[in-house]
Amino acid sequence: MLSFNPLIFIVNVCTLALALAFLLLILWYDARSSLNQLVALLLSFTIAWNLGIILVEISQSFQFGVPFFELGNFLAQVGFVASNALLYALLMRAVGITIRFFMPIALATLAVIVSYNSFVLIVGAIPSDFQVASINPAIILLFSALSLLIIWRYRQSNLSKLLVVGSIVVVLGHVSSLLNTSLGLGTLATSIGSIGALIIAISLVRSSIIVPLHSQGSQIKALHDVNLSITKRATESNALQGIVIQAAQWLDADAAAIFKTESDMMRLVASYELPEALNDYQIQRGSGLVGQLLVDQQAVLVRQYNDDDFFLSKNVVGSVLAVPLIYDQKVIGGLVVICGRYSKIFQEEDLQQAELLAAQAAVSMSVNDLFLQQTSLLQSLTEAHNQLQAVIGSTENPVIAVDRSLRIIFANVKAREVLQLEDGDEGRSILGMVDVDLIPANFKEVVRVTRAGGTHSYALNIADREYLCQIAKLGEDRIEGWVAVLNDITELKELDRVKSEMIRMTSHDLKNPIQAALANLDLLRDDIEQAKVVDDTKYEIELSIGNIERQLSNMERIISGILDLERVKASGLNWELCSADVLLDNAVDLLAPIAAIKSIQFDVSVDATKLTFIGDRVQFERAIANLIENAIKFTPENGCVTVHVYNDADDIVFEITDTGIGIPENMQSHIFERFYRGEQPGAEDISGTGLGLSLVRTVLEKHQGRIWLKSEVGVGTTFYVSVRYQSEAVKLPQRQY
Amino acid sequence: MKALIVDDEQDIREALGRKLRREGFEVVVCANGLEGLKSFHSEHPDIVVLDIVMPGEMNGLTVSKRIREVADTPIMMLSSQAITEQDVIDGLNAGADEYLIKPIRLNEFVARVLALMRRAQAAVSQTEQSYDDGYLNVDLHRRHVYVQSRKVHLTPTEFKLLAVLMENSGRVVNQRDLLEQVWGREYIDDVYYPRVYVSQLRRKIEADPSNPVYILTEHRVGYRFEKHNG
Repeated sequence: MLSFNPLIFIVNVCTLALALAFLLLILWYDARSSLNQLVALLLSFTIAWNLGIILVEISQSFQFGVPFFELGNFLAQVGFVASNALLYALLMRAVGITIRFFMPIALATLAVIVSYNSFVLIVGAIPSDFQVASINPAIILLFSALSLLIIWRYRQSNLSKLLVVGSIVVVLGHVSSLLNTSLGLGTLATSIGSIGALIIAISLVRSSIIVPLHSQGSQIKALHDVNLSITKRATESNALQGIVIQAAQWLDADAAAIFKTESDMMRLVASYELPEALNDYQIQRGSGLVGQLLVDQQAVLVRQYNDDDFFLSKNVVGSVLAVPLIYDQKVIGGLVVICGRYSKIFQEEDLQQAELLAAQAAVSMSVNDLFLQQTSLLQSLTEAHNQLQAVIGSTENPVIAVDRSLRIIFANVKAREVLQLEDGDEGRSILGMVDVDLIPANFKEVVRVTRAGGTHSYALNIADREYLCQIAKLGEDRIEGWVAVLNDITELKELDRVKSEMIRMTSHDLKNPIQAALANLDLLRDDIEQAKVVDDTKYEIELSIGNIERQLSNMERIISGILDLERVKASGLNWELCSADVLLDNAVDLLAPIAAIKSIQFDVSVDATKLTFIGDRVQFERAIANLIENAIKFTPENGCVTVHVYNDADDIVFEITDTGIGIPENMQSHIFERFYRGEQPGAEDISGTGLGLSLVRTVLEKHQGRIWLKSEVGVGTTFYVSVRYQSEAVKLPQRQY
Repeated sequence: MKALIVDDEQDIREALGRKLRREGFEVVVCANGLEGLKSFHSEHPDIVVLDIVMPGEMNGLTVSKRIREVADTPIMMLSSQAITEQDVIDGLNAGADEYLIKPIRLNEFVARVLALMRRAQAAVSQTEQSYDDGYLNVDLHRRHVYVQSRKVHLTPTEFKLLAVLMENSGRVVNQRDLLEQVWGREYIDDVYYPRVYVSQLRRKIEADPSNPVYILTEHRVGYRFEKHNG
């Protein structure tokens, strides 16, 4: 028979009220944490246990009847056994022992306990005096022993002291409860158990709510320290080293490491309290906890690591946090924080903190990569700049650059020498500094041409030498200045003169013997005419003379052709603004008499509106005349030669069509080659050196123009010549060399 | 008829000389420019055949200029180097009436020598023998041309060209007729001639040769002389 003890009753009620308050607090703070859930259940069943005992005591003391007693007894039994079992579950969870289906098993166990006691209640097996059911002591002793074993086993880990004390007090309460019958400790045992549960709840509230709140300030400080270590450290390895140290210290861990992704593997780049042998340690993608970060891109918390695939022995590794370093949706590395086997066990909040650090590490790593790329780029640019400066500096061509105010910003050695500049002249205006007229008089034109991205060229003389000066702008969108490159063309000009002279001399030297031979042949023919020679002999002699004449004439034609072509190639162009219609009129005028001899009709039409272009009038006219002459040559008597000028976009196209024999397709690609002559049927009697079209092509190339043809055998040939239209406002280029 | 042949190539000058002698010419041959100029002054030839490129200080162009300083004797130039229109123009500017490019056949040579002489001696039989508009004054009979009262020297060929155009003033003379009437039938294929000579003539009589008012071009047809009222 239990006696009602008001003091213990008050203690129990107070404990109950406090436990209830903690229960609400814990569930409010985080109802989804499994640890919180277990503590909540422990508190609930402890409350039930207490409530049950109170009900039993009240019913006995105040004779409230059997149902009241039975309800109290039921609550006491269920609360007692369940809280005992829950303590074990709570401890397992707290030290990180994971078994599959932990929570379902825990809940199932609770269900069994509740069911068993309900069964006992229903079948009326409750003793009239308050006694525990026969199966409960065994369970109590079993779970109490297991709970104490865990506490002993993990005494060196980071189990909070309050949790350990609370757990021992709860076990003490449970065990003392078994002594109830003989020692009358029932209500006292519940008080002890309640106090123990209360201590556990305080421990949890402290670790989950009070400590985190307290440590928020220090977290901010730690993050601040990490940021400082990133920004202060000049190199990536220093910054990462700072982060691993911060991570280990902040999370109260034994070691930490940062891995960097390199193609398909992760390489250890920074570590804290890890063996030196692990520096540069590499882990394949997908291999173990670290390698898996590359695949899953998910942070992992392992309370107790037991696999063999970690880079450290499982004998020394306890709890592990592995967090991917993600930047721009790519895993660029991983942060691993490790606690020893008997050390702290990481919780969810540790993982969150580790993720914070990982984000910082990712930024640091990326910034460093960008910095390295920038440094490398800068180095390449510097090298390229130096090389360019060395090349420009050592070139034999004077190069000088000025800014928009015409102040010298660069002059190579040759430019200094030629323009007689001195060391201090850089930064000074070029106007009036050099004697020669380096700045062209039409400077507005230079600005206009260079602004459009072009090059302005002009000739100038410096100390008896002739230079071709080419000016281009500096800068992309706006003109930052100009650079002038001077080419010494004194020798080129001399060479040009010598070449022209040689052509003239060769022409003279080759043509004179032919003239002499032909003249003497003519005299010989006269002599034979007048001499008394037998007709047969005369015929033979005239045949021979005829052959010699033909060969000499051929030789003369070839020499003239070669000289014409060489002259066109060697000579510069006298640029002028040409008009396609005037040029065509001249060419047609020139050839009209020849066409008239063969009664060939000319059909000339000009449909172009853009008619002007820059060219050498004489050479271009000759090229067009050559084509028309060819057309006349290959057109039978009474035929027609059509000349049509039109515009194709910004091109002026000359189209010259004959109704001649046509050019077979296999010959078309050869007709512009020197000395090539078509041997198609019908061309046998048409004379030519095979140099005319070659000359036309050369002229067109010098005008950046194009020539092409369409031809059909037996129908005729059309030659097309195109040259770029230029408005009349354009500036004429200098003579080309 | 006396012809002076100046050419540094012995074979050529001998062959040309022999051919002209056969045609009834009296021929004097010289091997260089200086000798040629001396012979011109001592022999008073009716026609001069000059090679352009010759050794020594005096080439054909110089000799031609020196002769033109004192006489209107027709000069035929032979060149082995003329390739461009400009070369021909240079020769004509030096006073030549005819510019032949080597090699030339002897029959053609003789025909051209005779044609040149005909041109030089041609009597002006046209009805209208003078023209004066204040700026240009031409006396066809006396073979005088004045531009703004300043006497202008025309070579025989230039004069003949002007005369033919003036005779047909207001009408277009086509290229073929021009070649035939001025130079002769032998020149019918020398299509460059009219343009080159007209250009020369314009330079001598027009105020602005690039915008001529007397000798006008009719494209693809020929040329026309336009009179102006003084």
